[in-house]
Amino acid sequence: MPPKQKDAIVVKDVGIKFAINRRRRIGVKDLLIEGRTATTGVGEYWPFRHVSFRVKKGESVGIIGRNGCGKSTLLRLIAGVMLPDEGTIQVNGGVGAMIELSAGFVGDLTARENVYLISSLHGFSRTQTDERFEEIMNWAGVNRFVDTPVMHFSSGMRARLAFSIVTRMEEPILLVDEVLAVGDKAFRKKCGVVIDGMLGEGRTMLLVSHNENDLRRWCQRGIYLRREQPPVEGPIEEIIDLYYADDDAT
Amino acid sequence: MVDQPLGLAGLRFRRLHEGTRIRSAVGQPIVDRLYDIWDRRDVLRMLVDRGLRHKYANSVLGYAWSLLEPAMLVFTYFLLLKIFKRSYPMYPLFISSAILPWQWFASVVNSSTSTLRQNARLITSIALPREIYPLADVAVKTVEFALSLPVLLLVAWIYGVKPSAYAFAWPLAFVLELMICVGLALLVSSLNTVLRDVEQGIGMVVRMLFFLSPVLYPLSSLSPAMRQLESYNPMVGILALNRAVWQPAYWTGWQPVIFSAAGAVVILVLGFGVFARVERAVLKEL
Repeated sequence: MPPKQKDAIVVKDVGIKFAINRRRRIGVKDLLIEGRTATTGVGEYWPFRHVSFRVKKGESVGIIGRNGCGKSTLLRLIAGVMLPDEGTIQVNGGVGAMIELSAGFVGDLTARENVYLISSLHGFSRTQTDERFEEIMNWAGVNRFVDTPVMHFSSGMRARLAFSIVTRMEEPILLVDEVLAVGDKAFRKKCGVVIDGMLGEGRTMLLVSHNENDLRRWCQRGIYLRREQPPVEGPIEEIIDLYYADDDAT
Repeated sequence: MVDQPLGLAGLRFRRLHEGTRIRSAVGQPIVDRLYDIWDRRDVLRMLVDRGLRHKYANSVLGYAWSLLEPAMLVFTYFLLLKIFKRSYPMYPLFISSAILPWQWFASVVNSSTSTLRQNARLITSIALPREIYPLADVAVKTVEFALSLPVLLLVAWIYGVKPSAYAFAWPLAFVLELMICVGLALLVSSLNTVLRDVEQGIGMVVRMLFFLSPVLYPLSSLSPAMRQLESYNPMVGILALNRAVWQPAYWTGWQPVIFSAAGAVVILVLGFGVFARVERAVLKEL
C-alpha cells in the first residue's frame, strides 16, 4: 500500500451472477471444493460484470440505472451483505449502510428496546446508545411512545425512528439506497439536512437514487450502470443527461 | 470525527470501524470468520435477548411456559406408556432425564430450517457474520433447555433421588450436545436456504431418530447388535450420560459417549465448513 491517502472504495473487476432457473443444481462437490461457483454455465445471468471504479475519500458518488441493472446489488456488495462471484472490493474505513432502514425492528418490543437492538446491530455499544438515546428519540419525534411496541407505530414513525438511529453512526463511508424515498415532504427535507451535515463532515457517500434532484444536490460524480454493458463514469450532470438520452431512445 | 471519551468498548468500536475490508470471490479462511463472530459477540447477546423477549412478550404465563411445556411432555409420555403397560421404575424421572436434552436437540434442528429466512432483511442490510443468526438461535434454545431443568430437578426431588457420580461427567454431555446443536444449526440453516427439501427431510429424520434413541426405553433393553447399531447415533451417548446422572443402573459403558464425541466434532467442523461454502448462494437467495 502506498503511504498516500487511500481511496475509500476500490471496486475491481467485480461481477455477480444469478441463476435464471428456479431450480439450481448444487452438487456435493460444489459444497466441499472451494471456488467452484465461478465457473460459467448456461442458465446464468450476470446483471453486471467487470465493473471497476474508485471513490475517493470525501467524495460523493451517485449510482444511476434502470430497474434490474444491479444498482442495489452493487451497493450490497460494497456493504458486504452479498459476496461477488468475480473480482474484489476493497473498503478502507467503516461502512454505514442505509439499505433497508426498518430491518431488524421487532414489532412486539417497545421503541426503547428496538433502539438498543438496532443500535447494537449497527455496532454501537450499550453506553454509546445510552448517550444518544434522547437525541434519537427527539429527532424521530416519537418521545411520547418510548414504551409503546413498535407494531403500533405508523410506517412513517418507524422510518423516522430507523433513520434517526442509523444517522448517529459515525462511519466515514455511507451507502444510501433510496431511503429518502419514504416519508412525507417534511421528513424528506429533514433527512436532507442530516445528509448535508454528514457530507459537511467530510464523509464519503455512495447514493443509489432515481431522484435527479437528490443526485444533483449531493453528488459530484455519477456512475451509470447499464445492463450487460460496461458502466459509464463522469460528472453527475453528464451522467444524468446520458441516462435520460438512453431512456428516451427506447 | 470520533472524539468523545472512549472506554474499552470504544476501543473495539474504533478498531472495527477503521479497518480495511476486502471482499472478493474467494472465501475467507474459517479462522478469520471465527474471529469476526467473536468480535461481534455483543450482537449475539442482543439477538438472544431479542429471541427470549419476543418469546415471552404478550404472554400471560411467560416464563411458566418453559416449565409447563416439558412438564406436559413428560406427563404425556408417562400416560402413553401406562396405556401400553410398559414401564420402568420411577418412569417420570426416567423419561424427563432424557427427553429434556432430546427436546433441546430437536428444537434446535427444527427451528434452524427457518432461521436465515426469518432474518433475511437484517442479513441483507447489515453486514454481520452470518453465522451469528443460527448461533443466536442455538443460544436461545440452550437457555430454554436450562429453564426446563427445574422440571427434572422437581421430579427427582419427588422421588427422593440424588445425583450419582456421573453428575461430574454431565458437563461433558452438555458440551457435546451443544457442539452437535451448533454444527447442525449451521448445516441445516444454510443448506435449507438453497435446497428447500432439507426442511421436509430433516423433520422426518428427527422424528425417526427420536424412536431410534433411548429416550422412552433404556439402551440396555436392546439386543447387543441393535445397541451397537444405535450407538452410531451421536445423541445416544449424550442421552445415556444424562440418564446415568439419576439412574446409573442403566449405564452401559462409555463406548456410545466416545461415538458421540467423535460425531460432535465431525458435525461441528462440517457445520462451519458448509456454512462458509454455501454462504454466497444463501445471500443471493434471501
